[in-house]
Amino acid sequence: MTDITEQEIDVFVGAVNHYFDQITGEKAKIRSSFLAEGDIRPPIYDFTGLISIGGDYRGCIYFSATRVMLMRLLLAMREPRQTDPHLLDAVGEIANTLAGNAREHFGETMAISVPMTFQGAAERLRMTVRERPYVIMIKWKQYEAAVIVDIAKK
Amino acid sequence: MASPTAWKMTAGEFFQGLFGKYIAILIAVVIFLVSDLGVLGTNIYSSFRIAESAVSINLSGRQRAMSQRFAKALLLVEHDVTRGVSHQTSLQELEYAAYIFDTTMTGFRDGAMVTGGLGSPVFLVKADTPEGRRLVSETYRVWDPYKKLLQPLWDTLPPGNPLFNEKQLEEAAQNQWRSSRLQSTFTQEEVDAAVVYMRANNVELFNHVNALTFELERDANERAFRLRMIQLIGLTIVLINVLFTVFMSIRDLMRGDRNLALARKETEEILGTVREGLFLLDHDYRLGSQYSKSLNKVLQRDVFPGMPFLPILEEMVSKNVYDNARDYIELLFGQRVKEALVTSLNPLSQVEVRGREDEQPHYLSFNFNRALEDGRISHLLVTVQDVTEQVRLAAQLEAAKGQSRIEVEVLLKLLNTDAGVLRQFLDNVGKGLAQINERLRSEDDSEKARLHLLNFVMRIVHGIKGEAAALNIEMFEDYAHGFEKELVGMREKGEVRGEDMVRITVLLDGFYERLAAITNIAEKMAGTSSGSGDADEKYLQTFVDSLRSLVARIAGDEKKEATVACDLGDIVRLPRRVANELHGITIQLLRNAVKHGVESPAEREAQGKPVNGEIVVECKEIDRDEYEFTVRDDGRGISVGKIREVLVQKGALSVEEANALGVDAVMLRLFEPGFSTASEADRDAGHGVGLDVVAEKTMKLRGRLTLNSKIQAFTEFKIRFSL
Repeated sequence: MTDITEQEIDVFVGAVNHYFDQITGEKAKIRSSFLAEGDIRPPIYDFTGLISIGGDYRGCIYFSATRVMLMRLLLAMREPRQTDPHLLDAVGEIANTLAGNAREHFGETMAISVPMTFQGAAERLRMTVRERPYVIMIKWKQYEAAVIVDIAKK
Repeated sequence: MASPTAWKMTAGEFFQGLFGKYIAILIAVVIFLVSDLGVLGTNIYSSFRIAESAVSINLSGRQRAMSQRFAKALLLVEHDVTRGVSHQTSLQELEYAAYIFDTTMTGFRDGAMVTGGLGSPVFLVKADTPEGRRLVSETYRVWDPYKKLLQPLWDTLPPGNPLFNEKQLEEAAQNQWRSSRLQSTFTQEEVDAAVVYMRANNVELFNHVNALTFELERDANERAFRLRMIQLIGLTIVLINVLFTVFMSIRDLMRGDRNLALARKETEEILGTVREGLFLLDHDYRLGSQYSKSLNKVLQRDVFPGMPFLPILEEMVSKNVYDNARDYIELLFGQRVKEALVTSLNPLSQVEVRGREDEQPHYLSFNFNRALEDGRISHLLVTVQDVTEQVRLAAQLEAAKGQSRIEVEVLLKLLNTDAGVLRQFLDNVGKGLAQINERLRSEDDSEKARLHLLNFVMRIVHGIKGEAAALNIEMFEDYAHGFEKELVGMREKGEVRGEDMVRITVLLDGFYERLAAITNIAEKMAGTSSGSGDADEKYLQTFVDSLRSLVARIAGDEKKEATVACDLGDIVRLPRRVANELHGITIQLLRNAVKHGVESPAEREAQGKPVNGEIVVECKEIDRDEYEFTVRDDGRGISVGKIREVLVQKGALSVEEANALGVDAVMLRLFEPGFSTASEADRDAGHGVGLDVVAEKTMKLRGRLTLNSKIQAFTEFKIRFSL
């Protein structure tokens, strides 16, 4: 068995799903789950919110979503302004939720950074800690986003 | 609990105590006794001396009176003589007063028994001060001539002066008070001479005895003063001694209190700081008054002094452990049992406990040590540690050891496996896993698609399991088996959720890890193994060996007897890709043959068959580039009725539908995913995947599969394919 369990992965995926449920009243679902292995690279969409992990673990966890999904999310939040900074704020907010859940679940064993946000492909996302990072595809309405879990125990 | 003998002290301890910390008290007691006895002794002595002084002063005062008494008597004698009347009475008075005066003076000079104030004899001490001696001497100087002048007068008296008592008469006779001249009368001159002397010296004599009286009074006063001083000093010493003793006692008490407070503070500091739970247990199994602060935390319970320990324990551990622990504690309190001998019996040296604060398994270690008082067990000192982390680490270490053992095992098995076959196997596994991952990625989230996905994953995993079993790589086989079981569980729920997809991904990741580990070993081996021997021959050998070992293992597990006979010479003429597919097919069919086809030895014997079931595997080129591959067993055959029954049981068909189904249609159902006639799933059958894999691989070969079977005779699978 690997050093990460599905319960641990669920801490992050659950955080995202819960966020959508809370904010929009409509649950997000896991569409699929796979490994970024071989030619399959972790997906990076238009906007990405990331937290870095330290402590007993290392690596990062990030949420990446398309522009259109985030715009729809802002709409559901009755936020009329949909500029790039607003979209970045939205992914940042989701990354913040990831961090919060991780803190609650892992406690002192995991040191969690302040969330960072990126627009487009970021160089640091090409580097992975795991041989095969976990990719969990989230579906909300007809839109897709991904939670990538790339952490390993030290 | 203090035993009755707890305060017994040996002689050594007594003396050690006496000259040790009790020395001050001892000295104080000695000083008290000495000063008290000193004062008492002086008191007694002085009281005697005061009594003596009282006699002396009294008699000295009487001397003054006597001096005047005999002067007066002398003047009466002279008067009587002059008038010519009887002078005998006056003369008797003169003699008596003179006698008392004279004997008393002897007492003052030498110390003697004299006539006391009331006539009875008393001892008169001599006047011993210098002034006293001088005054006595001065008195004698006057008295001696005086007495000589008076003597002729009373010598004329007839014997036995009536004023004398018997004792005085006796003494007077002894002392020769009267001279022996025996005259019947005295002369006028003798009287006159005495009167003249008296008139001249009476005042001086009076003054001397008077002064003696004052001197004696002064001496008595001085003695009394000395006695008071001695008493005062004695009392002062006693008072100082008492104060000293009180001071020493208070100082010792305060020092004791201070030491006690310090010891208490140290104990409290220790008990407040140690991470272990520490407490004392008495004979009633109750907690002592002091225990370490961390005890509550370690036990995850609130404890208080005097709390019964056994109910706490009962709440925390299983009944069995609790009973053993109670016995063990009883044993430790038993005086006759040696502590060292029973330590190994401690059932609580590492025990899983039920915590209150969290649900996680929690391990504690209790250690019991006897606390002795006067050689008897007074308490048990109990140390409790939370060893959860150590237990977890030990388990991890054990797992790591297990992992290394598996790796060594794998390595040994791989050394016996043909490198080409192994590489091919690992390639197949890699490809299989990649296929699963690709399907996971591209799958849509409809229920139907997910069930398809599940069957797809199951087929690949089952295939890997079979091949791993044939190559005897248990590490893969076991993992694939576990994977498969989870997939079956998901399928049986009838609904595949998003979380299940994550679970499959995690399992897939684990598979990849194992693949990487074995690939790593295989690559290292490739560098060291020699490439000797004919490759085809070695391939064939490995192929055949793997089938034999698989059949032997499954037959052993099933308690059956079965062997495989191979005629596979032509297999090496096939491309390895095809041969590998056939290998995969053979594995599934052999599993089914041993598990479902071959009967138990008893059953076979009853049917008149040889006990040993035989499975034949053949591969023949029947035409140019056309091959026929056969797997045939001599077992019980396939029962169409049994298949119908299972289909009805599973709810796939109604009884009517099942009965209406033709034999071919029933047989086809065997190749559907999820079908199995085995009542329980194990790693060789029961998940309903085997024939599913066979069908899939046959399709890959674009082959044609024929199934023949006869009840209680045989089952035969034939695959025809062209290259």
